[in-house]
Amino acid sequence: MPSLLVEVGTEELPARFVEPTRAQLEEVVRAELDRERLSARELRTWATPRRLALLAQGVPDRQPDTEREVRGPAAPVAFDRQGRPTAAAVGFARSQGVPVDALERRSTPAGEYVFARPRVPGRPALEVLKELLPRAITSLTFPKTMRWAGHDVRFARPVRWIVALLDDQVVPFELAGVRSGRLTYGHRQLSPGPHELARAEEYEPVLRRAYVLADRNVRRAEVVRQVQACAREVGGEAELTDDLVDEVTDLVEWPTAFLGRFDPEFLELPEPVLVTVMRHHQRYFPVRRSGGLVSAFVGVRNGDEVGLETVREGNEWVLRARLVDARFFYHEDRRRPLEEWGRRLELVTFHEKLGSMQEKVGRLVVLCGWLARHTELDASQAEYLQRAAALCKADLSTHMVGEFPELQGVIGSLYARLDGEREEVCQAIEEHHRPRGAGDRLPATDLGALLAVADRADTLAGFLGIGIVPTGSADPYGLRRSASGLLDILHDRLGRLPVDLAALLEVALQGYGERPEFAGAHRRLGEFLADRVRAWLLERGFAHDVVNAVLSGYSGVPDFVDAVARADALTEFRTQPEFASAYEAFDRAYRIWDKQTRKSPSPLEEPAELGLDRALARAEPRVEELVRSRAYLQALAHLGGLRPEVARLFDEVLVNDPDPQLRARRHALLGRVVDLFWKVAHLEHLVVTREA
Amino acid sequence: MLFQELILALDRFWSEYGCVLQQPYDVEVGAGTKHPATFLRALGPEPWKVAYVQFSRRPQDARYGDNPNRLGAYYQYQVILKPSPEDVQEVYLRSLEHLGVDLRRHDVRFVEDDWEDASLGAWGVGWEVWLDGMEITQFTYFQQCGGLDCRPVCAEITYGLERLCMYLQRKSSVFELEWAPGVTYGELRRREEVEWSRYGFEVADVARLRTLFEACEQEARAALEAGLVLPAHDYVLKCSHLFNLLDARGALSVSERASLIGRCRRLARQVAEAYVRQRQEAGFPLLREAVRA
Repeated sequence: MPSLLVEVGTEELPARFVEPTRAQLEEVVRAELDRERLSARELRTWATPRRLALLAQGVPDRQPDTEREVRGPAAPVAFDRQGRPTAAAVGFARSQGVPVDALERRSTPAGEYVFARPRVPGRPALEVLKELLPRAITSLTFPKTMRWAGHDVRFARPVRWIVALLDDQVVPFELAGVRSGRLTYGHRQLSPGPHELARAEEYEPVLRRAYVLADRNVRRAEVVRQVQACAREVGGEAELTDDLVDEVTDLVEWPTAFLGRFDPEFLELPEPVLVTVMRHHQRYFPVRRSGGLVSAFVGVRNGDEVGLETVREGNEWVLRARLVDARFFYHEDRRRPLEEWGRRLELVTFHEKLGSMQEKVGRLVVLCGWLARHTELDASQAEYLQRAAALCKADLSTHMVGEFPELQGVIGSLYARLDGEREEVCQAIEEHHRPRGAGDRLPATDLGALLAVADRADTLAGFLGIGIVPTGSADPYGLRRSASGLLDILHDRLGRLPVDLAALLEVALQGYGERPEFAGAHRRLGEFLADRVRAWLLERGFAHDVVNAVLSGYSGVPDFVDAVARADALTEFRTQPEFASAYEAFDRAYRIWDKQTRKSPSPLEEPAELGLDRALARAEPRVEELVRSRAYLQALAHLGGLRPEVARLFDEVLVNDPDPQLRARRHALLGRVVDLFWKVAHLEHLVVTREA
Repeated sequence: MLFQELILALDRFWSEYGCVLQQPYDVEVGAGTKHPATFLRALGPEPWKVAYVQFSRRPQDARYGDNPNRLGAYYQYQVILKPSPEDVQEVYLRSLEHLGVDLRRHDVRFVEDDWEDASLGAWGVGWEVWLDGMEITQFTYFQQCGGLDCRPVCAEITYGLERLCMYLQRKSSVFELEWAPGVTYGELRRREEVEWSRYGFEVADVARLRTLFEACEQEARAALEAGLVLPAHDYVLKCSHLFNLLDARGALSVSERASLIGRCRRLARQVAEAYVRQRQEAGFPLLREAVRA
């Protein structure tokens, strides 16, 4: 059976697209071939920055024939009383190309009908493929696409050639003005081509001769091997971070690593700065020897050994320029202590209506003072926290952060250490930026966590205070991210360092003082945070109805720590056998209760009334106590104990008695039952399917 | 290769390729993109090939002439090819060979780098081109300009002349570049860097700049109302430059930045729309020329 080769030649794809698109191509073509009944025995794929390719081996040369079913005339029309086919049946059979005696009779909801099953001959693979391939190629998706010249097709980068061969035959089609053919192209400089492919199976060897290592795994392994070998030339180890190895792999078609050096005097620069310059800005691998950086790097060139000396020298020259820059910034920065850079925050605006960064820092110091008292830090910890708050934004005005914004916090912490600040202070400065996004590490120390919490609370209070509320997909200040980071940190420290979210935001709001534009700030903050707490709980996998049951109990900013405890308890309680009886007690009471009566107009008389009253009187103080200590699971279990007395009330008396006095008495009792449950959660929001 | 020879060589190459050689624009701009030969000509269906040098001001990048690699203003060599030719990368690589770069002995890479100028409502997709690890060119396929879709899409090639020349001359400071025999880049430009740095960071009067911004915005509107596309465009450029000065002065908050950018962008869009209307009324003359040719 023949082999199908398809290669899409492009201008340089973004490195981060290469591997995902290779996987996608495999998936899309496999699905398309299966759908067209042309399933291949085996698929292989290749991907480089300039090509995506796939070889499907053992593709049938035509689709298998199939049958389809066609409904004909109604049976009484097609056959006479003796069961002989009529002219209608003969005509139908002829039109479908089947003999009359192959017709089938079958009853349908519309009556009995005659059916034919004509054979559908399979189409030749070549025919199918010339439609299938362009469809598959244009269905590939990318994080970002573009148009080029006058074409309407969107792709990651312009498509420049297409190879499509079924064994030795071209599968002809056109896409964005490019006609498929048998010509491929090699490495841009080493063997540009065009190279003609006689057969699909020649693909990999032809490319290899054309200086293209098309197999991504092979190319990646080659990068790793060569980079390590270069690092060993100076007796070191290259720092092979996965994302950089991946990126470099997909920046080249024919990798050749080289060892470059820089003047050891640059080693005076802080390590994060050196590493950032090498890795992020130049895509070089830093080299370490017994832990420390050495004054060398490994680069990977897209090409062979020819001129490698020139390439090395050029790259060394470029790195030197970058490091000279960095050193210039570093020396400028170190001319004054970090604290002094902090004074320049006066010139950095936090937000035009909310003042400068310096003012923000002032508020953070106060807020951290409150947090220290709130979480009962000891005096020295409290002092370090406030010191960290005073310094945490200072690096924003340094040259280094201006140049390498991704080093915010890292630089502040480094400079603080050089200034002889306490280690706790330095760590908190670095950590208060975390988490930088979803999935990022949280602050590791308590002080870092508290400072991060203070920073986010201040931002949320300020922005929501002046009415900047994220809507839909528009959240230009990343307020949702701030809120979810804040909740992540609070949750991370729930046990040891409980912080009351509502109180925190209240203090943060006070930090801004009396301002007319803050009218309605409490309501906006309350709604936004309620929404964020809801989103947070849902993201953590709490069920929708549990989240509703818990959050209905708050107005304004929900007590987050408390809400998590309640949601945990309710989720757990639902899996326990006691749940059914507790829920039944609540549900029966809630359904019939008039939702307002809480006070009995006259003394209780009936034994059932008195029984429930006694049960409530016993339960109320106990449940309240459990709620105070946030033992919600136990409180729920306790509430389940009301079930027999609730059931008895329904059995023995008519709740909706025609006598308004009696009715009110019983509704008051049910109101007490509901209120007591509501101290834990609003169970009426639970979606419970009862067994029939 | 002297700095001036570099410009001559590029002029020669792109002229032979068929580009119109235009001259720098005389309003302060942050990039060659803002020159009407790019910003306006990129719009509408007419084919267009142009190359020119543009002095580009970036007040925020100024460093008092102290930093060997940083400038508050520099020279871009800008090429626009519309529609983007199929072999545009190869043509670009040939231009490097024309400058004496033996591609076989160097490492040239196209590294993903998309481009956006929010104040012009313009964005594109492309690469920075690396020569042995040095970014020497920004290569962009315009997708939108003035908020309008570019149809057809043009390719923009922007050479950073100082960078490229430093690499070719192997100079470690931009100020040491030989511009002409015996005359350095520093001799011609250092004083300018020092003065504009002081102006931008210390002297510029924020209140006055804001007033100027408002005034230029009003002039742009008045010109638009009178149907005058090019004067309107000039005043949008002035707004954009004033914005850059205010930004460098550290006078803008996040939201004020966004608001000023939005005001520039709205004007740029109106200019773009007015330009396309004007060309349409003229019957897209370059389209007719192309058909005749």
